[in-house]
Amino acid sequence: MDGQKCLYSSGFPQQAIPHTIIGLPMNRQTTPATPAGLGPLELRVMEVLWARGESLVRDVVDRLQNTLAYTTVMTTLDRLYKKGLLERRKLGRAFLYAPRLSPRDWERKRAGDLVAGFLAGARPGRELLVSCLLDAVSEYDRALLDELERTLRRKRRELQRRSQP
Amino acid sequence: MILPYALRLLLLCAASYFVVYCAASLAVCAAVPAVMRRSAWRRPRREATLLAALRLLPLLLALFAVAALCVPGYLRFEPEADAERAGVLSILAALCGAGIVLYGLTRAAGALWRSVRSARDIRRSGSPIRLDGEAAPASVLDSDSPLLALIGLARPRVVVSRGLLSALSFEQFDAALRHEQAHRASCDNAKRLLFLLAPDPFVPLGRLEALERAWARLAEWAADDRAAAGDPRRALSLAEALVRVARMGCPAAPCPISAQLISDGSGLRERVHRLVELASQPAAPVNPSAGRLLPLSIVTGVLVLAFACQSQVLYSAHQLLEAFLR
Repeated sequence: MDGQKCLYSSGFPQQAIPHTIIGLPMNRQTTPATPAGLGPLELRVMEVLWARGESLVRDVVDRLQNTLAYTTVMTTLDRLYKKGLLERRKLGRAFLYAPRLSPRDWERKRAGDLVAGFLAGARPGRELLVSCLLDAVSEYDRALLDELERTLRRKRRELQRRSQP
Repeated sequence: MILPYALRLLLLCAASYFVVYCAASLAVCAAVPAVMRRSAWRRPRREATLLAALRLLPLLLALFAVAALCVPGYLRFEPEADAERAGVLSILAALCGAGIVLYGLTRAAGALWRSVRSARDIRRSGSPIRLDGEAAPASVLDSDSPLLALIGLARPRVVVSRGLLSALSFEQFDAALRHEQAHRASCDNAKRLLFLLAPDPFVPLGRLEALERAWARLAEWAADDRAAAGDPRRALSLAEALVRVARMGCPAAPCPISAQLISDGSGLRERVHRLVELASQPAAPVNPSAGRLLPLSIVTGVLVLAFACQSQVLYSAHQLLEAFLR
């Protein structure tokens, strides 16, 4: 589970990006899935469901160590279901909720939505994204090449020392 | 559908090609994860040969089935009587087989045509230069981009840009040239063309594509090892050349079938670290079994062919194909 946590807890700071910028509609109730727009509580609930699998509202409340009211968790689960991130089936009078996407798929969809949002949005946003990506890549390249050159210089010095009598 | 003698043979060939090709491709796809888990850090040449053989296995098996079993069995045991009926399934399989063959041929012919045209253009626009260890003159292009590549199939030639010549020291260029010569010795361009002839029938699985990528990476490592030839200084010079070229930016491939010093920057770190390791440790002894691989394959091929030509084997194969045809 630790590995999975890494997958969905690291990534883009989605809270800092307004939905209008990333090209997602503001009315989230009617959209099938907007993973980029998850709040902290929704994320915690998703983490519980990814860890446990199919669960009742009570199971999720227990897993959250009763820090939240039953109705709050129920509403959150219902909201996630309406966003298309959960599926549910009836068990007696209660609902059993299960995640529709694995953490990895969710992360991929989130990144994909973010990039698609930028690319579909206004021209400055698109260019900004591409330029940020290129900057990041070339910065990484420069750092990598610097590191490799340092290694090679060190190795060359070693070889020269070894060859001297 | 009622078909005449010759057309039935054609149908049988295409259908059996399809069945064998798909079955072998599926088997290779299943084997890919296990093969990729093998460590190739210390023996890239052997592993690259294995991956290339696996990638080409469906093509070779399908060709073998058609040439050694299907055609001789049909010609020997099928009476040249009237036309016979062919089943829908066999016709569908034959159409798919013909589709695979045509697609492969189109891809390979297109790449070959573009490569030949590029090579001709480069020879015309570049100026010839004699390089050490090169029988044919190399072409020097008036360009600042750091290009060093091996282009062509039958007699691959070296193409180098003035930008690269002026950026590298003598030792670095010598090591980089040896790298390209190693690609020529391994016939890597010919292997690339053969891969194009064998399209992946299970594209959504992406296994054969992954196999090809892994082969390309190992082919680079093997060429690095061969260029270094156990000499620590040369290994280091090659690593320095790689970093110098990467800093200048990786140029686009001059043609589809070519071997470049750096095709993209993705495997640079691994290659440099391997070369540094080569410079630190004594050269690994050359595995004598690697040199025996080709004669061994030829002997095995001849034995299998001799077995396949046995009357009983041919008859059984023919019976099987007849049943499939109906």
